[in-house]
Formats: sequence, C-alpha cells, structure tokens
Amino acid sequence: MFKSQKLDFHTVCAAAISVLSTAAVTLPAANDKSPIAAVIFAFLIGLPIYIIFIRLVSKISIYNGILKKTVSLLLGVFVLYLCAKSFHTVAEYFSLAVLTKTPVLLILSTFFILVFYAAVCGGDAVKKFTLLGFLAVAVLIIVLAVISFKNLELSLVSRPKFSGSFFKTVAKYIVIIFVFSSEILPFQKKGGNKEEFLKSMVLGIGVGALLLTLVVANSVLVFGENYSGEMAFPYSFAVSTFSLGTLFTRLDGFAYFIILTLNFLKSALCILSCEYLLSPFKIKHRKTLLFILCLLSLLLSFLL
Amino acid sequence: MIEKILVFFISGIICIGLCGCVGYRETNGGLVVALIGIDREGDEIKISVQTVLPNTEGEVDCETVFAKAKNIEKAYKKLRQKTVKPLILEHCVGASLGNTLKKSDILTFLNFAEQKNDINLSLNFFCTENAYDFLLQSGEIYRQGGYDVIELIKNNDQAFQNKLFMIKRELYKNKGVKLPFLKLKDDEAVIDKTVILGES
Repeated sequence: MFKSQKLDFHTVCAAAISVLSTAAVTLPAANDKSPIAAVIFAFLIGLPIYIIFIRLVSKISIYNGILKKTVSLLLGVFVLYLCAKSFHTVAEYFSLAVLTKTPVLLILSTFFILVFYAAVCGGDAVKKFTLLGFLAVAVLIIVLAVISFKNLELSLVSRPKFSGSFFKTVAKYIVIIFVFSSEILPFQKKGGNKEEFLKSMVLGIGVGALLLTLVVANSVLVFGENYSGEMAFPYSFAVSTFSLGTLFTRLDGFAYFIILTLNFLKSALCILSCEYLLSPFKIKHRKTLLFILCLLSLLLSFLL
Repeated sequence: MIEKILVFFISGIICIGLCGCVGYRETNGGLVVALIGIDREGDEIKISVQTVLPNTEGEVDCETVFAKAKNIEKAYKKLRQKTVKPLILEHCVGASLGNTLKKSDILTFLNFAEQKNDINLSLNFFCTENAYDFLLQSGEIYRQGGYDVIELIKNNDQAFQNKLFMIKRELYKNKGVKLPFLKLKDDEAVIDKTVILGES
C-alpha cells in the first residue's frame, strides 16, 4: 500500500490527536445508532476511500497563482473552522462541567494564550509536545478503560441493525474521523518523504479511531446507548463514576487532562496548518498573523 | 523578553489552577452533606440533608436540616437560604427516598441530582419509610453518620444497581431497578426488603 518502510511518529501522534480531539468529548451524540459498531464501520469503510483520495490529491500540483491562492484560502477557512470547534468544545466543556462559576471569556482567554504561545514556538516544538501529549492521553485512556472494568455492563450493547439511521451514524463518523483530521495534510513538507508522511498519517488515523472506539465503548458500557447519547460529555461523566479502591474515588481530573490536552494540541496544529496554507500570500509578520488566526478562531467559536 | 513573560504567565496560571487555589472551599466554610432525603407531605416536597462535621474524637457531629416547598427546586432553594453556611454536596454519598413519594417525584429528583454538577453520578439511592426521620436518627446512631449507612449497603450480599447513573440507564431501557429499603431496628440500620422502582 505504501512504499516507505519508515514512520514519522510525530505525524502518527498528530493525526491520532486530530481524530480524538472533539470526538472524544462529545461522542456518542443523541440519535447515534450502535455507536461502537459505527466507529469500527466508519474506519473500515472510510479507509480505502481516504487512501485513494490522498493518492489523487498528492498527484495534483497547482501552478496557477490565483487558483493556488483561492484553494489555499478555502482550505485555510476550513482548518480555522476546525480550530474554532476545538475552542468551542473547551469553552463548553469547562464552563458547563468543570469551572461552572468561571466566566467563559476567562476560560477562552487562557486557552487563547496557550494556543497562541504554542503556535509562536513553531511546528517542531508543537510536534514534540504532540508526541508527549499523545502518549500521556493514550496511556490514560487505556488505564481508565482497565479501571472501569468492574463498572461495565456488556448487556448495554445492542447488536447493530443495518438500517438507514445506522448508516447515517457511520457517515457522520467517517466525516469526524477522516475529514475533521485534514489539518494534518499541509504538514507534508516540500522535498520531504511523501510516502513516509502518508503512511504515518493513515496509521495515526487508525490509532485515533482505535482509541475513539475505546472511549465510545467506555461511555456506552457504563451508561448505555440512549443515556450516553443524551449526555453532553459522556466520556467525562463516565470517568467521574470510576474509582480505584477506596482511596482514589474521583478520577475526573484525568478526563479534564485528556480533553484539555487533545483540544490544545489540535488547536495549535490547526493554527500552524493555517499559517502554512496562507504562505502563498507572503505575509511577513508571523506573530501578527498567528495572533489574528487565534483571534478569528476565538470569535468563530462563539458562532458555533 | 515577551516570550519569557508569556512562559511565566502561563506557568503561573497552570500552577494556580492545578494546586486548587482557585474556587477552593474550606470544609469548615460550608456544611458537608453526607445524605440527602426527600419526602412528600401533602402537596409539598420536603427535602432534607444530613450534614457532618468531624470532631476531635474521630467521629462526626451530624445535623439534619429540612425545607418544604411545592417542588424540589424551590425546596432546595429554601434549604440553602435556611443554612447560614453554603452546602457542600461533593461528598454526598447517598439519597434516601421516602415512602410517600410519587413516581414522578422520584424521576424529577433523579434529574435534579443529575443536573447538579457537584453531585456525583455514583450517588447511592435507597428507600425508607420517612427520609427525614431516617437521616435524623442515623446521624445520632452512627459514628460516621450517613457514610456508615452507605457502607452497610455496599457490604450487603445482595447486588443493588442503586447508583444514580445505574438507575437512570435502567429507566432508559424501561426496566425496573432494585433498591434497598432501610429500616432502623434496635439502633441499627437493616435492609428490610427490596423495592422495585420504575418497572413499566
């Protein structure tokens, strides 16, 4: 499938984080049918389509200046939308479930400073942090799944019925897994190993989808499909019911860490990706550009 | 220079946030609630709380407070006004349902408890003849008040699906939930029988 034998672990982690970021907070949503099966089906159906798509896209070279700028601008707007989604998720989650008495603007301002600073540090610093952040998040998700074992009710999972509503859920999950992780694509450097990058990205999406399955399964096996679908933040609420012996009875902090880390890294990646996409416009003041991009994401998040 | 100031600023925010210096509450600055009780008295809902305060002998001093109103929200609001110190619900481990409650009252209370961020979804539910009386008497009998009552339910041989999230998920499936019915006999709380809640 891929000619390269090597893997770029930074890209693997960035892609996995991209898949997980908002999905791990909000899925399963209301009216999602058989969410565990839907994630698995979405990955299996979406993967071949995605590989064909990126193969086709990587062969296209746009030399026309105006066309290149237009395409870059449109993609930039989409990536900015993804960034705003992460801002929105953080604002909603922390204001409704964690810091209920803190004004949303204060939460968003702190997050804004964090993302802006990460973006100023540059791609290499963010990628290194992505590696560390992803490892911590992946370990925590696995450990929490093990801890939750005694809370899980296998009878809560229903056999998927291959109806229209199930495939609607699958289609939605395909978009979440493959389309909402597209801010990684511009990180493929000119002159870099294209095969290595694509292979790493596909593997990263696979790892992300696997962890997403674990997150969704955890929520569904604790609350059931209907009840977890009604919740605003099912995974976080599921974690709040876990305990480790009599000493560690509140593990909510781990959920806060997972959600904040995922969305912080996703936002930083989106801003850097946006910066790269806007490079044909030859904007000289880098910090001003990054500041404006962060500010636009912040403002856009209010509209979502 | 700006970067160094930013690093210092962000580190400060993270440290302050992580060490709990923001939004903290001293336990003696509020009333720690161990149990919540709910009863129906005619047209009114009576909500009661058993508050605990650790004493020097390693035990807790319990106090039971109640308020009555037309609905749960109003009764809770009245209760908060009645207590001088704010109620700390984070350490609440159990909820007692009085025998006089209607099914709709219980469902409303479940939603009320679920929506309160400071109440844990693992809150243990049990039934009693009169929730207020039970809270009052168990506070006098047990050294650790409501905490000992919940330990008694947990250490019981029968498996109860009596946690808040378990009750809600079973009700979503239109299934009944088995809850313990507690009675105080000879200065001791015992599981008298089991009650099936919400079977359609």
